[in-house]
Amino acid sequence: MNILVVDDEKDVKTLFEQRFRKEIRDHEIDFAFAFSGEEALDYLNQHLHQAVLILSDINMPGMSGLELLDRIKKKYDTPPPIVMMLTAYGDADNFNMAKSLGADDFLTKPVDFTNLKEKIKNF
Amino acid sequence: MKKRLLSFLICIGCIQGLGQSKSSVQVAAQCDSILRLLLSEKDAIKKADLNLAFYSASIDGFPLQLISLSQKLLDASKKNNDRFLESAGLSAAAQGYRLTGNYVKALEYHSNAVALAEATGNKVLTGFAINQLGHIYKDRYQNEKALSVYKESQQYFKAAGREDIWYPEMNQGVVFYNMGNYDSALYYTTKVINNIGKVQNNSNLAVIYSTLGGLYSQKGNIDSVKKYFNLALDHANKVKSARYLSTTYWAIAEHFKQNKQFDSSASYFKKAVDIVAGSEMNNLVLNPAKELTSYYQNINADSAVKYWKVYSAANDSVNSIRINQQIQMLTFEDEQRKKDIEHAKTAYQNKLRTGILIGGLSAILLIALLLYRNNLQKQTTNKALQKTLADLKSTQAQLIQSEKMASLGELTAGIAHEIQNPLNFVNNFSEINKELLQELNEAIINADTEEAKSLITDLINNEQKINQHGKRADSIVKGMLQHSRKSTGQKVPVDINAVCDECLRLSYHGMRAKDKSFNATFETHFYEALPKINILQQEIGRVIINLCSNAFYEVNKKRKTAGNNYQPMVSITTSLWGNQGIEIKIHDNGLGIPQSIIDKIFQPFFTTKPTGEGTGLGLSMSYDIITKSHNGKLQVTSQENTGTSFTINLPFQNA
Repeated sequence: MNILVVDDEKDVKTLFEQRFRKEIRDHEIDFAFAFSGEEALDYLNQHLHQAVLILSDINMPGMSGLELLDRIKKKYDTPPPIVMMLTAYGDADNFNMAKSLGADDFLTKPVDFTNLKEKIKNF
Repeated sequence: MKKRLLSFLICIGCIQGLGQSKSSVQVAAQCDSILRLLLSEKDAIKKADLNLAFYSASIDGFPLQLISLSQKLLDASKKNNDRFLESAGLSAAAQGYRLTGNYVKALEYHSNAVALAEATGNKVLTGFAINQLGHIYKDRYQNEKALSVYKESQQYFKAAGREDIWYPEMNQGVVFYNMGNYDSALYYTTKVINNIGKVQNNSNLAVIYSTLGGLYSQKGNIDSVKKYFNLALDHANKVKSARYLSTTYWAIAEHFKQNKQFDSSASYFKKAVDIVAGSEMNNLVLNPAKELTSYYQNINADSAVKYWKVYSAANDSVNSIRINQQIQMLTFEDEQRKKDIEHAKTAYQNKLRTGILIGGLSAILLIALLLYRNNLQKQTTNKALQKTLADLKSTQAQLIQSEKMASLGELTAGIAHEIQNPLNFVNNFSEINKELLQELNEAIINADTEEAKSLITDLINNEQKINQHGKRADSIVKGMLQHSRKSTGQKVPVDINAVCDECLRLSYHGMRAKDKSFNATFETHFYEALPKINILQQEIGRVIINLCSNAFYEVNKKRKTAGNNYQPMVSITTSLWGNQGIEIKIHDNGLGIPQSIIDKIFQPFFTTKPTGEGTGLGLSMSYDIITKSHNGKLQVTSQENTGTSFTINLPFQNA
């Protein structure tokens, strides 16, 4: 299972790699990391259909997570990748906006990794 | 020669007494027509001339006509309430009384006439009235007084521009003659004769000629004596006035007496007496009768007694003690009246002066009051202004504080985000470490050394992350506290790059938190070897946050209207400012500032933001912080639709 994580905080990579240490070691999940929306689009252009799940932060300099979501859902419609939004701002505006743009799920930071693992397993 | 003159004089003397009543009637008729003109005349100057015309018409040869004229004038004056006519009437009456020897009444009337004339303001009338008054003193040989009165009269005519009226000069000539001052008498009388020129019919010529005759007699100029006495008789006869004839005879008699021709002298004295004796002008017999008394004294006792009686009767009527006293009293009263007038004038002038003085003082007082009031107003205004200034200062202080709080409010969300992120990492890594430690425990139990080593490496890395993010949160909280705290005024060495980075992030996240649709990229171009610089950290921080927030606001505004190709971008660059300091440049690619307002942006309360979004104090405070507190420079360059750059220059020596 390929998962693309998009966040401007570089330490997110370390965090995920440690949290999913076993899954990575057992090759259950392959992680790719992008540190901005633009990087994420570049990655998707190069690795079409390889990412089945995208986890994206919303607050990022440059292209925001919501913009990225919009572009992904418009560009890759068959089949559209699953996009889960991760944000520190769990307010209704952000939530509704994400949902209306086609986000498949909406998680607030700090990430509850036990919960996240459950969700990933169910996809 | 003397015989011829004598016979000539006698010859002329023979015709006297003929047609006197006829001439008197002519004079009366002439005066009546003058009176009619006078009563219908309105012009004051012409009225004065008409009044003089009565006397040119020889009315004062006939005292009874004068009394009658005065009655008519006084009646008319009462009817018309006309002071001019009243004065003229009184003068006429007075002249009548004078000629009939009633000097007391004459003086009384003259005085009143003068007072009334003065009241009319008619100078010719006044001059005339005064001239007439002079006759009383002239007749009574109060020569000095007479001269001063005539002089006064002359001055009135002069003031009226009527120096052609020669009565005062003529009378002064007579007075000087009476005084024995023949040179002066000749001077005045000749002057009159020269001036009189055309007025050949004036009855006064009899008086003038007889005066001249007398004068030349004194000088021994027999030819002139003859000439002027003949002329005098000629004119006296023309009007057939007993008065003029009597005075002329008298003058001739004096001439003969002077030349010791006593018989001739006596015969002329007799003529002088006879023509007026028993008439209303009986007073004129006085001097001739006295002369005749002394003439007959040694010749004819009866005649001497007769003339003494004539003289004595006249003298009683004219010169009694009682009359003299009355004259003196009236003169005194007249002088008193003049003094009163003078006094009133002086009093009036004093009053006027006092009035002017009081007026001046009042004006000065008024001005002083106005100035005082002005001053009071100014003081009040000043107080009001000082209060307003104090209010403004306190308002300004409040505004500055509220600007600080407003920018803090803007940043709160950003700060929350900035703290939340590191805290998340701290929590996440510490949770991981908990798991890793359990795994490590298992590895040790299983004696899996490789696994244990790997776990320990991860644990160490994670601890570093925890520590790093904890410090990051710490520094943000400290920065926030510094931002809200009032300036301590302590400059401390600061890493400008760190401050810029933190402020840029704070303002970015602040914008982000406030406006969900906001998005922009930011870049930092830090000069790594930038030395620390002594600054007021929170102040400079506030400036950078302010400039960054403005930059983000601008690019966000442009993003809303620009197309999809627009990439909002804010960058912050640090560099050395030559060798004197450091430079911070904050650039945005927003809409730019129009040239029309670029000069105003540092002014307090100038803002382009909608009401409620900006206080208009941010840039003006920033400007003050950089230029006043740090001796630096804050400059702006902008191109419309391309972007704006704010450049801060901070000198190392900025104390």
